[in-house]
Amino acid sequence: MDSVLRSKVESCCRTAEDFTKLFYTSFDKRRHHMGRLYLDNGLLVWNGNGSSGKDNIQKYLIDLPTSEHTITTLDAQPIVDEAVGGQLTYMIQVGGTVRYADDSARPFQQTFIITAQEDKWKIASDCYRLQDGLARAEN
Amino acid sequence: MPKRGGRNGPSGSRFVAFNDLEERDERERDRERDNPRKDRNTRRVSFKPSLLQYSGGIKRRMAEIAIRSHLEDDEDMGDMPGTSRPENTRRKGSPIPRKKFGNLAHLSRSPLGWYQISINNGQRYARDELVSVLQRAISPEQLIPLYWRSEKSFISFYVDDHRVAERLDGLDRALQMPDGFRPYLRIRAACPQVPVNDELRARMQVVMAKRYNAQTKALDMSSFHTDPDFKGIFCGLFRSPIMAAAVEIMEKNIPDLVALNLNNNNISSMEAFKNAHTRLPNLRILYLADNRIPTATHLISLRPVPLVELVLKNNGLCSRFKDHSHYVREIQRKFPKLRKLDGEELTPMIQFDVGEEATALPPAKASFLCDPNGTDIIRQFLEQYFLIFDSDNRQPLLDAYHDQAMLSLMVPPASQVGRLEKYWRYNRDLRRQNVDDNTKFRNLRVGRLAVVSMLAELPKTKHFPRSFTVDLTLFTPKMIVFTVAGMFKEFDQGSEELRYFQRQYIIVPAGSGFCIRNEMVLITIAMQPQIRFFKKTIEPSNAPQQINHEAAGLSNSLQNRLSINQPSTSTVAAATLQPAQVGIDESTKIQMVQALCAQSNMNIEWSKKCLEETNWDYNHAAFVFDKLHKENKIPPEAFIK
Repeated sequence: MDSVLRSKVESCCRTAEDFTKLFYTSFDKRRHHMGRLYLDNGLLVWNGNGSSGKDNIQKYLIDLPTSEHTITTLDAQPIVDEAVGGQLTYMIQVGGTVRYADDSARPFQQTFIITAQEDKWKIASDCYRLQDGLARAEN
Repeated sequence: MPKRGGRNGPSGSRFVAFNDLEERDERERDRERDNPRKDRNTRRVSFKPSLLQYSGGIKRRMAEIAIRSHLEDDEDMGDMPGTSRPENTRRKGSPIPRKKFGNLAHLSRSPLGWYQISINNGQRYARDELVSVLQRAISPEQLIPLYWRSEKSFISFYVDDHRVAERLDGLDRALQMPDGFRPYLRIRAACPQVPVNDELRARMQVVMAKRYNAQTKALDMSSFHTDPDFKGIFCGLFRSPIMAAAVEIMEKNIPDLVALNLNNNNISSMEAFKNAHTRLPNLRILYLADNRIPTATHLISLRPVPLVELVLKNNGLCSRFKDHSHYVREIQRKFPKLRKLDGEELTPMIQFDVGEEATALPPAKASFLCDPNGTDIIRQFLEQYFLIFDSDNRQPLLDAYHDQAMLSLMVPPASQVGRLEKYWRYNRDLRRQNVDDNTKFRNLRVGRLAVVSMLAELPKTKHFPRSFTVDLTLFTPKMIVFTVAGMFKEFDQGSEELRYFQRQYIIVPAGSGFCIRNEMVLITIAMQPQIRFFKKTIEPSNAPQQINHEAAGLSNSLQNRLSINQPSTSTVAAATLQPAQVGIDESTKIQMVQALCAQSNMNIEWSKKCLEETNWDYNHAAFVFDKLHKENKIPPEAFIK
């Protein structure tokens, strides 16, 4: 791995750490501020239910039961492609457990694309899945 | 033992009441052996029943409940049975005579239908010998001794037939063994200690299935132990381990249970219903009439269950309230959603408006596609990708990846899911403890060769598209982002494991198709609900499929997953993954030919021709065949085998 890519990977990993801390604290405690974490035309897919645009996303999140996320695994990669031009863009994958309302803890997995807009990181796409969501819905 | 004056008079003396607490002399013991139906109270430790005005706080009361249910569970484990039958609760020194009034030979009916028979010194005889003597004596009743136990100085067994118990009780000392010994039988209403084993679980499951009404989702477990299918086996739900096993069976087999009838089961503890609100999330109606639940506190494990109907009548707890309205009020306070108590409609409780607590999560959906134009591309991508990934040779995936493609994989920490050994050395979890800083560089594979050589090292797999969730989150001409998750089987040296994966792909245009620019993989163990779902839905639908139908099967289930229509124009072919088509290996081609043969009824030669002409795009080949077949453009020789 050359030194240019190495430093990209390095800062990608650091950003992913900071991002997840902020994201899950907001999710659990400050949902009414979450809209601003997304691009104006950002997309959230929560267990197969899509909401696009930061206002809709915030509303969708606020309507969910109270939550308590615990993050156990995290991975991130920089996207180095002409498709994103010169704009810094990372993909992030997170795993952990979540308790909704009085429910017991369940594993969940989440993937993000975040991108630097001016001097702020914004979420372009966010895909959230409870691991047993489909099994429970179809059983 | 030193004799104490005044205490060793005949049992009819006025000191007899003290014998309860005093060690008795030899004569008394002899007398008791001769006539064990009286003076059987031996010294025992007992707790005072908790009172309503208990001052120890809820914690202490809960601890007490726990200890009590534990003790109740352990009763009868002493070496001599007979310390806890209900009739024995006679107050010390009570003026009421110990013997029952009236006919001594009459055995009171056991509320549970089970009786314990014990015979002092019975262990000296062979079981068969004893049984045949007893059988002869009570003939024509049939003696079936259950749960036989032979101890140092006695034997005991159980019968579950009142008439047999009555006959045995009536024998008095009429029995005589061949050697002249006259055994004395003690008979009491009691239940055996039954270990909860697979056999009992299987029996319970059968009886529960019989008593389950799938239409109303109601399970009737009233007077459960009296079910004729439990003949010869004791299954009392008031024993906590048995109730726990019952709840487990419900959770595994009928998790959508709505109504449960537990009337008349002698239940005193509801401990087994801890977490019932998640284990039986739809439970709304619960009948608990005619049990022995002593206080409302014993219902604490049920409180998170949003019950709308509850029946509690004829339980100890009912009499612990000032009056009926107090009782209703307190129960309703514990179960605010309650609409019906003991069959009586309740006026809804007025609560503070804290917003209808959003406790229900929106239902999960199998797929979300931000742009319907992406459907075919993703379907074809996944079909081709996993067809190769699950094959014996993953090398052809080289063509699916970009020159500078990146791939990383992670597994959750061992503390959470156990150590997923096969993936551990590739794990790039940035949260992982005690790894050197270099891991994040080393375990990020860059370049198609590095990527595919790592994929080739992973265990052999079989993915189940029927279990997939697919979310397309970005669809532009320059870049497509989607996340796919689902179940797969991991094969390793004859063993197989069900696993769950989530993969995020970034694909970019390349030539006339697409290739993978970035990919992240998360692999973890399958959860219980997933395993159940797999066994119930996925495995059966997968089993009848022949191996040569696999390509078609994969495609069909993916199509259902993405809920799309058949492609209506042939231009779709242009959108397929060009590289992967080029790279299809011989064995995959053979599989595709066989699948098309089976689907179209054409012979091998024509199936192969059709696939070659559509550049080995299975779906397109099938589509072209359908179209031409409808137009009658396929010559008859194509169908000659």
